Amino acid sequence: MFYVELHKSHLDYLAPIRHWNNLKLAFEGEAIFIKDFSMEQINDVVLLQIPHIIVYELKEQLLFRKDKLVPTKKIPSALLWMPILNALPIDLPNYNMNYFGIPDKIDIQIVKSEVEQKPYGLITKLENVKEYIETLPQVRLQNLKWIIIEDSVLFLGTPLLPIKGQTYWLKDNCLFPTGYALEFDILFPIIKKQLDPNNDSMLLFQNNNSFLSIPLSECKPLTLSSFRLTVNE
Amino acid sequence: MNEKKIPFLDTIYHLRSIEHAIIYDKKLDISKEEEKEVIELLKDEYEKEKLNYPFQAPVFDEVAALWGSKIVYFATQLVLNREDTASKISTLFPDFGQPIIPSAMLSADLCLRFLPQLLLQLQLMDADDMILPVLEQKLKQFPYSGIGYEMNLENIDLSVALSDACLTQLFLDRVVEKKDKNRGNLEVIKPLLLANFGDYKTIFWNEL
Repeated sequence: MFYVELHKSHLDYLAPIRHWNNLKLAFEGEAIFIKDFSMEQINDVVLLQIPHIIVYELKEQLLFRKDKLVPTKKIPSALLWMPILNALPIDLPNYNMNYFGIPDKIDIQIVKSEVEQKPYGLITKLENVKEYIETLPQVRLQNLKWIIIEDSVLFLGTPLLPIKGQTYWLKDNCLFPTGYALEFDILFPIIKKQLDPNNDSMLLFQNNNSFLSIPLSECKPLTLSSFRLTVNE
Repeated sequence: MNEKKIPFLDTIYHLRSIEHAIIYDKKLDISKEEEKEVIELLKDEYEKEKLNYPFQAPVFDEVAALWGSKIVYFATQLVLNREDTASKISTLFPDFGQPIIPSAMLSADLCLRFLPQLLLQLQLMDADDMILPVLEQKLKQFPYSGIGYEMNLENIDLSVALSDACLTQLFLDRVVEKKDKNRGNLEVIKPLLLANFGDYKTIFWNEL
């Protein structure tokens, strides 16, 4: 069990972890205590960056500074715990009646992302798979769809074939390169609607901020015969 | 409609295209022309299926294909037509007189793959039917066609089925497709299946 202590005057510093909604917070005189951290959260850079925090570990009602052998103090009794969301209310700024920034534009960008995603698409050169694919068992092919893009092949589905190539992850019929995501994820529904109004295409975003629209109906189930007839034409 | 009576060709054609078998009345002889046409038909079918076979598919074996189709045809007729069958069994269901090689096994399978279903039908009607062991023997000799059919797998010889890369892979694919646990758990088959699945056994066939 980990606890974090902070002086009351530094309450605002907790904003970066406000969205960890498993946390509970309690006030005790001039101090704030926070508890219910998961193992990942306690080591997270976001938490460790907050200034003036003291991380404790609780053993037998005594608070030990993290990785120290001597207890610092007892845990205060009768703490009134509340969800961290309630302890840090959000004030919305007053509505600016004179805001002139409305015609401003932003660029849509693909940026590096820390979030781990399962790959769903894979692009590779045709010659990489040509001979390999004929040696594969049916089970590896039957869940996949495929389409040819110039001299490359795009495979869709899971589990993907173990071939080298650029992998993509899927979000609502859009493919993003693995390790990358939209800079402003909140705009995703709007972007999607603009680029694919009929919802009948697969949008393939590239690292260079370009995208390719692939009709969904053109992606065919992967079978050896479809592959042979297409490739050996 | 075609005026000429061609029950054998019709049956095989229906079997291959819509997987129906036709039962005729007392038609247990087959003309040479009909045999030829059936071979043509099966050859076309084989060429089509070959496209989906992994690795290099073996060549078409006319004799085996015809033999397989005859076995299935006669088995179909015997579902209903049972006049003094005992005497005919050995003439209707002869052994495949040639060495069983991968190409023979695949060509015969064009029709033999429907035999397990026929056997189930025959079993439902009469579990002690004397033609059952005869037909099961065929499935034992052609193990690729027998996948999915429950029978005694002791001393089953899979050496031919596993002697060719293409046939081996097809064999494994069919075991997975029919979720045939008995064959999947055979000592020679299981490691090959696991190699097929790689890391994804839980996705493809968790129960094995």
